[in-house]
Amino acid sequence: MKRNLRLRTCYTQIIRIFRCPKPTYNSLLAVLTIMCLEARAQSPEQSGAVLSGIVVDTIDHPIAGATVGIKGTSIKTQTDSRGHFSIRAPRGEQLLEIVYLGHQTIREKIDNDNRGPFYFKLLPNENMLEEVEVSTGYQTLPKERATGSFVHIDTELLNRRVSTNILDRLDGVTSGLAFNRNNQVSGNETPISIRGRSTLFANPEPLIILDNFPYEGDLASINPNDVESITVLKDAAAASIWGVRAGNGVIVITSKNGRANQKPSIRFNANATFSAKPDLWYAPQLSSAEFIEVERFLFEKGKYNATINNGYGALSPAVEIMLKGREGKLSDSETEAMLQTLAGQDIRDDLNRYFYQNGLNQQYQLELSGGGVFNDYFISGSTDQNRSQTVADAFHRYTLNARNTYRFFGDRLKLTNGVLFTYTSADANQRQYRPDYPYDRVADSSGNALPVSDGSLRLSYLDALDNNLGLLDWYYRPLDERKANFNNTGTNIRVTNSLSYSIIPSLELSANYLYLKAYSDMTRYDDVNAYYTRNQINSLTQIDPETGQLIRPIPLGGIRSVSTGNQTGHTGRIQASHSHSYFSGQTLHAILGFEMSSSTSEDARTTLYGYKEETAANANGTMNFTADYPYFYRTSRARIDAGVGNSASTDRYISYYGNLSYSILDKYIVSGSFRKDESNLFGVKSNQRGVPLWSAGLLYKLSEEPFFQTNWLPRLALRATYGYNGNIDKSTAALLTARAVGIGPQWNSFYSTITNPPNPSLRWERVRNLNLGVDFALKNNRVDGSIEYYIKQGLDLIGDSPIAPQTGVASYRGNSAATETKGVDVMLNSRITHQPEAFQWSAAFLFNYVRDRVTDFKKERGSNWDIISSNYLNPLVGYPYNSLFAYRWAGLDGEGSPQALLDDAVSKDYTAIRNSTDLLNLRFVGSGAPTVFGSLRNTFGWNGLSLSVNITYKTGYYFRRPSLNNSSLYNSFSYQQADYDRRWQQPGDEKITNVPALIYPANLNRTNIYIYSDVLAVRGDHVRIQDISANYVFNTSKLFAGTVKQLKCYLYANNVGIIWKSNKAGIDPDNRSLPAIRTYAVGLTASF
Amino acid sequence: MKKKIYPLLAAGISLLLFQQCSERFLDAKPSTSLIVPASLEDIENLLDNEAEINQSGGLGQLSADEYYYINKAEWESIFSPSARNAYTWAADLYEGEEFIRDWNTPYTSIFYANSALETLAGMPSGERDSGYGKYLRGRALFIRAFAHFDLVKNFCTAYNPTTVDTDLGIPIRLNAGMDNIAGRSSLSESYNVIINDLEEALEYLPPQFDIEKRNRPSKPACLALLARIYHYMGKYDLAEEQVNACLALYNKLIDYNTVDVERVNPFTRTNDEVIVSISQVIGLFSTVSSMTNTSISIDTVLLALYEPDDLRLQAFYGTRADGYTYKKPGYNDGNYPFTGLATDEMYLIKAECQARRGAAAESMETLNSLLRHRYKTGTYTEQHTDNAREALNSVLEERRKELVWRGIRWMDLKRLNAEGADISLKRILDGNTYELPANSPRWVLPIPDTEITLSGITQNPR
Repeated sequence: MKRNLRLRTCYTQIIRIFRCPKPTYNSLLAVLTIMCLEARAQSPEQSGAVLSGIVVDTIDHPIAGATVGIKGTSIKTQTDSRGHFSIRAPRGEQLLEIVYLGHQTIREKIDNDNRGPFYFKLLPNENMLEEVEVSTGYQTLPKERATGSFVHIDTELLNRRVSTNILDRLDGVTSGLAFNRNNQVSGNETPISIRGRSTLFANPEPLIILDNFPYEGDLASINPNDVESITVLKDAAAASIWGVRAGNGVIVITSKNGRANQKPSIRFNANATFSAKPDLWYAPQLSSAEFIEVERFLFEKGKYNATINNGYGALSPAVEIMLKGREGKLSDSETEAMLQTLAGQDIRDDLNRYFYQNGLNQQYQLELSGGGVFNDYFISGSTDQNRSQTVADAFHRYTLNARNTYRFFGDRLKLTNGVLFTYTSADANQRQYRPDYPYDRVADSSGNALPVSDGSLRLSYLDALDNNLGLLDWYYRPLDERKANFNNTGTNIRVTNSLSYSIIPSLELSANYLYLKAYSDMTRYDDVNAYYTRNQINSLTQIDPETGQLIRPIPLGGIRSVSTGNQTGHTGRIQASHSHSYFSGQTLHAILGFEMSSSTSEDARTTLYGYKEETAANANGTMNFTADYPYFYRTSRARIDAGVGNSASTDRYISYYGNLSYSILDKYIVSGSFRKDESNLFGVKSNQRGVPLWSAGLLYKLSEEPFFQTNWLPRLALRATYGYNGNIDKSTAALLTARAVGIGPQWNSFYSTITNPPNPSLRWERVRNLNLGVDFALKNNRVDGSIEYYIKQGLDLIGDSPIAPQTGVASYRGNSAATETKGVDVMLNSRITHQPEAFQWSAAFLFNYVRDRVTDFKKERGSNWDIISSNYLNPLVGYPYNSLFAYRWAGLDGEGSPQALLDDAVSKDYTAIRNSTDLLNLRFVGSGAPTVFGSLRNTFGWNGLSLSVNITYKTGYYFRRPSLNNSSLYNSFSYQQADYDRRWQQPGDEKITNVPALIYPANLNRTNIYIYSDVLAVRGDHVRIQDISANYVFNTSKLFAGTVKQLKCYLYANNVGIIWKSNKAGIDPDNRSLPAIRTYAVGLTASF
Repeated sequence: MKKKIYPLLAAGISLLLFQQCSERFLDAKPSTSLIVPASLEDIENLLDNEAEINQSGGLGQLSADEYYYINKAEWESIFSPSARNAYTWAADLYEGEEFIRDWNTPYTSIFYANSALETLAGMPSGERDSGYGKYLRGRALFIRAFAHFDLVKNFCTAYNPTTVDTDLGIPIRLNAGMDNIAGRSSLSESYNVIINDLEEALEYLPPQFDIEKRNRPSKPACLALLARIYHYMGKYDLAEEQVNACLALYNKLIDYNTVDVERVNPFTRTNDEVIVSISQVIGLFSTVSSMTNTSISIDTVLLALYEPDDLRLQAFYGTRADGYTYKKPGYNDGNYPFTGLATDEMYLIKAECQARRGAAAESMETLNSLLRHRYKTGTYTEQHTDNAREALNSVLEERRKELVWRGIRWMDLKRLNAEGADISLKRILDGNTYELPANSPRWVLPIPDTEITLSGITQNPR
């Protein structure tokens, strides 16, 4: 009864504060509960003297928001915007503690005789580790108080690298974050992954948060120079606050802000990155002479006859010469001489000369920031101008960022708003020339454009066309087609507003709202002179047999196709944060909130024919899109693509969340969180729309214990967390789902396609997380770091599994799988020598071990071929998701035919080897993704000079080396193949080579037994110097008499080179088709 | 005390209201084009899917004797292993090819039909039992029956009344669920299901059809398919009964004198003889027949059967520059050959059934009424005979000449061999001879490897 009374008392208090008679939202109820709890816990403070003072930084600017407390008690306050504080200290001698992020903590003995005012000057902290604040997107908290697994990347580390893309800056410096470059091919790859993989077919990408809200746009729109810091959330306690979208981990990006009481400051940053043309000779291919040899063989076998006889189909220059020889139009010696000339040509010379250039990326940024007593501001403008190594490709970005904070009522009411505007524009040549033959030529010796076959029409067919017919020029001359014909622009406007109010010091209410508008325009324009346009028009042109007039179903003029996208997002959040000490030395921090979000996007596509650029006029009105027109050169018919369409989608979420941490004597910290998400999942019952997720954690600072006071180990803390994250796959539905396609061309009826067979037991994916960690620091922070061990279990994972074709579907999706990922993340920082004003050397070492395996996959598995060729669709229980399986190679026989082990016997029964379902006939080679990776970063400093070298390594994985593919060589005439010269050619070769003899016609199963055998599986292990960064900070006091606050210039080299690799084939496992391009950057930063 | 309850009550009520609101908020469709089929129109849209329904297999066609490769090199250069191996009836037909449309496509049609039937079953009886609802049920049953029969004719032995109860049929699928995998039924069971579906469909489908939407089945289509099935089973009396019922509803024939036979595409897909339009999954131009694809030519024995005044010579065939003969698109105007049901086939079935029961004169009258529409006006000589054997031979020859590249020849060969005709096929490629003896198990296509590994059903001997 007593308790109820209190409840009511405090209830009326709130009513008064709000001046509103009836609270309407349930979140308010939650607030009430907390407040009442608090009210109950309030006890009279011990009376004592009131101390006051001011806190400033090294240049005597007041510091707002520094925590001032009495050590060993719960008494705490914060400095106001003028740096002032006043605090009531208990009687007797006390220790006053002033803590501020990024600065050394001050501890001052006080007694009641000295009441101040005190004057404290905070020195910047040289070791950031202890005072780092990490952000979850819902709250920020000191890392030392966090139970979960966070990685914090500060401004300095982010700016170590020069890049256009923000995520690139995490590469090689973020523990547990893997960049997946050229992993074993899979169907559902993600460019980055946090702590391995815990989904199979649902979205595998980490969630990106920009300034407290999920970022769903194009990452290319984020300007890295606007970013203050990044926090990576790895385990359940860190990430579960993001609920169903946190299953793959979360990356929280925090933008720069102004600071209170700071003079206006201008910062300028400019840099340029240079890169050379790519090495086209890196990937192996058949030489021109070798390819002609293959073509001659196929020509004699009659492979080209069907094409030759149809009169128009594309033939290679070599085959055209051979044909003339066969028809007697060329003598044998002429034929040989012409082929000899071809054999001496290499298209890569032309490509290198005409289609590639040196790349140049430029970046400029200007910032203005500052703050006063009642507000602070940050405004920045930046631009990126990138010229690609491919001629005609370019990228431009312009960003404008403004953030303002206003404070009222002595900092109790805070209003923040931010506007971010981004415009990006990318130009590309979308019909890039890809040579069909290694000896193609696009220019003669004086640089004039030469025609080549486009892959569908034969040059001699075009030569023979009567010029008087009036057709448009039908030759394809790649040299004339090098300009950009595709432009993709994006405009993003992101407005964030946040209003927070401290009702009482321990309770803050806040409301956040995000508005997002994004437009994109993808324009493909081929003018009337472009080969694409000429070919389209000519292909359907008819000649009236009586008048000889040309009939053109596609009118003369350019073809312009525009796809527009329009995305609108709203997210609203109401949150109550509570922070209070109840009993001596015990503090509760809690947040409780509710969030609603809706995102809609609309896409529309239109195509204009006969387009005239000057007038923007088109001729669509004269066209018939439902008639079947015959081709000019063959008997089949085609319809003109109307090129129109539109679609819309809506994503909605409602979430409830809460998070609390309870700290006892700053030694034991318990944390817990819960979240329930509901979404507009399609075709499920309403009770299946949501999933509740939770986490719990514990932090024990052992080094705070009296019995654990050692000099050499000043910091030791143990952490443990457990809980669940989720993942969502909106492509699946519980009910039979179809997609409306439109009107069918044959029967003019609306029709739909089944996209999802019914699945009544569909559930959300969950990821169970266990994280155990140790944080430590040796004396003087000589070495500090953390070691973490984790287990992630993917439960109820959506599985795409092959199913017998008799069901009528090719594969089936359901909650059919489970995975388990175990790993270790080690982070070590060492200050090897650290003397101010002298030589400094520090090192950072990252070690990540991650091993995942599929623990459950219910559906029937397919043949060994399914497992080998598409393991990502046919995961095997007990093996990693990204596994490399191979046939068991048994060498070549006396005729150069491949052999593999089938039931432990050497066999050439390729169909039986392929179809076998006995796992003994397979070899598990290893993981296709690195199981161990990390980096070693050494930084040297002397006076203003600093040099940093990052060495990265990846080991414990395999990839399939490309080799000679009989089927693609003979069926699609693909010349980009390795090992042609090492193939079996005569008896005895089987002793020195594994490359099978070529047979005609190629047998696909025979080809694949070799291509997918273990003899071609090689280790991917390698070590590389990823990058080198150097910078020099000028001593500005001497240089410009103090007008320039900081002046720094920097140099940066990326992709410096591989130091060691285990494969002998000369392949960089991260860059298999084109080599990594080394880039050099030079830049300058100045602040005034 | 009472007063203090109000705020809590208000909070409670607003919470409830909010729950309601949020449910509506989450009812938004994630994508505009997504549908959970629920209305009769949704079902019709499923059944009108052109790409997945009204399709039939093509490997039987490629195994039959209506064409030949002009030499070994041309044959070797064929890209698709199954298309290449079907020509020589190789034991390993698929040679690693993964997606076998002959098997997969009919089962997809069946899945669509079953999905439509199950959606219908879950609808309120008012809609389900409405005329439109029943009509859609009829359409789904027809689609299922057509697809099941297409599988039976390719993947099972010919009908033999003495062994039909023990011969292997196909996996019969009567529901859309993914979790039940059917084993192979007996052949008699397969036929029973197909005929039951068609007999039920007959009750629902209309006697007339929309002449612009000949992809949709009707009563005549049901009767025509029943006639084709009974005919293939050798139950000629039943076949005749069905064919008469069919022709009583629809019997239009095209007089080829009114057709521009010189054209590359002489017929449209909505021509008068089409009862229901079905396409073969293997295109004409890509593999087997085209003006410019020189690798193959139409069988010379077949060509020699036509008389010079027979308009079908020009309507069906063209001559390439190199002298070989190609097949023009038929009752489908595009790339994919027509394998549906048309009145000409019905006349031929009727004539054959009449001949089989000894009514030679009636049979010849039926045949003449068809052929009068195929010859240049005034050049056709009516055929007359009292000899049933002679009449039958005439009819069988006309079947070959009329139903070229319609997927029917392979069925006919299997049926005739089952009756003891002892027809063996032979191919010669650069001196190598390949033979398919009349009693070979290779008259039955093997079931694709993927199906065997995933469902473990019995493979056909090869």
